[in-house]
Amino acid sequence: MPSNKALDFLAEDIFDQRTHAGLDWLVRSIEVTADGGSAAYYSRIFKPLKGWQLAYPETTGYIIVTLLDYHTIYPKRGLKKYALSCADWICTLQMKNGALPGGVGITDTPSIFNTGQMLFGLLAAYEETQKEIYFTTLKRATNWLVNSLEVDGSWQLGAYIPGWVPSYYTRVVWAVLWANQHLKDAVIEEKMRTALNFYQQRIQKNLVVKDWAFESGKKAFTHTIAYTIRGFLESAVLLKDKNLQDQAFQLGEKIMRLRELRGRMAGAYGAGWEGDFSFTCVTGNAQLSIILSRMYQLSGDLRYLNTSLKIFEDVVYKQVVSRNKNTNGAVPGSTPFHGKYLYFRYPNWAAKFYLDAYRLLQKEITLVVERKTA
Amino acid sequence: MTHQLLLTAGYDHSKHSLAVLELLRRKGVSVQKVIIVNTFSKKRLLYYFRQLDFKEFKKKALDRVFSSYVSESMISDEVKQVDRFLEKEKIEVQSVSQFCKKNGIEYIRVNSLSGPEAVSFLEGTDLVIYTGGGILFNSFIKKVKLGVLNCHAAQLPAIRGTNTSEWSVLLGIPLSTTLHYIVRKIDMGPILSVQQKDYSACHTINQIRGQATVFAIQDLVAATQKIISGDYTPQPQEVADGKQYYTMHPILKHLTEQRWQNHDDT
Repeated sequence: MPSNKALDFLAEDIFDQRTHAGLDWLVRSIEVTADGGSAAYYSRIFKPLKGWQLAYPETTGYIIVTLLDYHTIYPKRGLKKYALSCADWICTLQMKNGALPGGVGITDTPSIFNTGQMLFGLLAAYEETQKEIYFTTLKRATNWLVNSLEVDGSWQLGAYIPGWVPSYYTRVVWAVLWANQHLKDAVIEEKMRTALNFYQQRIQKNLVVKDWAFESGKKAFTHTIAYTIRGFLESAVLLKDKNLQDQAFQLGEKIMRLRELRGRMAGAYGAGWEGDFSFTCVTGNAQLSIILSRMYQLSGDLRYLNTSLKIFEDVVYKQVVSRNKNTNGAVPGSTPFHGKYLYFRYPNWAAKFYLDAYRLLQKEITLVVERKTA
Repeated sequence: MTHQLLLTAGYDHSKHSLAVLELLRRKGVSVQKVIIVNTFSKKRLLYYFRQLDFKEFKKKALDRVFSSYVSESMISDEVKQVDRFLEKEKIEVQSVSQFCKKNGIEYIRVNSLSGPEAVSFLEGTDLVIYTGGGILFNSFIKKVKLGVLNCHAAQLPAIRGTNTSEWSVLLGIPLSTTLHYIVRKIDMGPILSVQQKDYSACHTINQIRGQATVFAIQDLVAATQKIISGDYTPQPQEVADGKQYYTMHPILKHLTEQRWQNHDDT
């Protein structure tokens, strides 16, 4: 068995220290809000008085998944309690038509993407507890998403920017397909195939996916690039669609080549893969690491795990170590801190994806060690 | 028929290049020209900066440039393996440029093999023996009549790319060398031969890497003679036949080392 030191950031003591710090920070982000959701970010520059932003329903949603996952390795931390309180809060936000809201705090603006992300949390909570309220909420949210789909497979209403149909909506497709594992509705599956087809048409020859940025004409942060690729990949797995999975793997391999040939990821990429290396999108790196780890899980190809380690290692020590309980364990939006993505802020989703990437690497390396030394 | 041979050297103190030149000389095979890539070019330093952390960069510098000037304890097992070979073959350690001067071989120094100086120096070359110097472009490759001969330290087409010895061990693929012609796509050129090799005397991955260099030296010398006498029929590769491997992350490297130790103990 390799020495602890040889495993570097995956050494047990370092993994425990950093993940506990990240989880402490996420728990604090929940405790500081009045309502049970996780605060969108911490920033003394954007929020000089309190530091903490309002609760963010979208990201609270998928943070539930992280908390429940870590509950399996740290059962004494009470993470399940926090996860379910977040899920309970999300249930209270649902509109009459089944939609869940966009924005921070409590709003009445229905959002396609945000509903999709909250769906992940509701699904995880339901699978953990089998509670009826979670099932009812997720079913209504799913129906709203499916009924909002246009004939061509796009979602036009409930957009972050009106008229902009971003390709990272593939992540919504994934959420709906996951929900359909419980709803078992052939119509839902058919409609999601149509939706996927709509976004698949946007995959260019150079493996850029058109319109995967937040807005038209801008470079795409690795955050939304990763959203898009992951949406394709996980949808393909759920549909057992080999063709789509192959395409998703091609996208992932492009990321692998970019990292390997350049030595690091840019914070954002343009339509010809021209990178903005003035910053690293920390969240994006964590998400890309997750994608490559998943590709390794699906294929057994160690090259993907190899690059996943590198992409995550580029940001693993960017997690804050501090005596300030509001920042200890936090993960910045960008490095340097003033970089273009979520500058001067510690977003809750950065901590979430950081923890997810870390956990996945720890799991897989442990398995590799066990297999290779057997 | 006399073939015009040219050798590329990754840097002036390349023991690999020196050994190939000397062993060919002993066999009566004349290398007419040598291209030496400058050790400290901006492009090379940028490449290493992107690929290696400081510890690895320091190790590479010690091994490649300063190994003759530092104590043996500071040199890696990889270089020691090559040093032992040179000693056994009684090859005098000197720079490639010094060897060229002593033996009347025309040579140039360049920053890049893809630059115009290197390409024009190729004029009239039948065979290039590649012993380092970076990625080659079509402007270089297509100027050589027979081809650019390389010895790859793993089984092709299975393991293309870098850290191929490490990947072979980790994946349980027999350690081998492959002689092939270089084409623009990395490690996808026509294959001349694949030979499984005996690494049983190696206890560490670094020793394997060093021994791979020794095998490459021997194979390149033997292959050059065979090519000159028209002995090979190269077999083309398809893209789908193999995969591209990249520098191995230190965590996986440690697992690889562990795997080799376990293999060694059995």
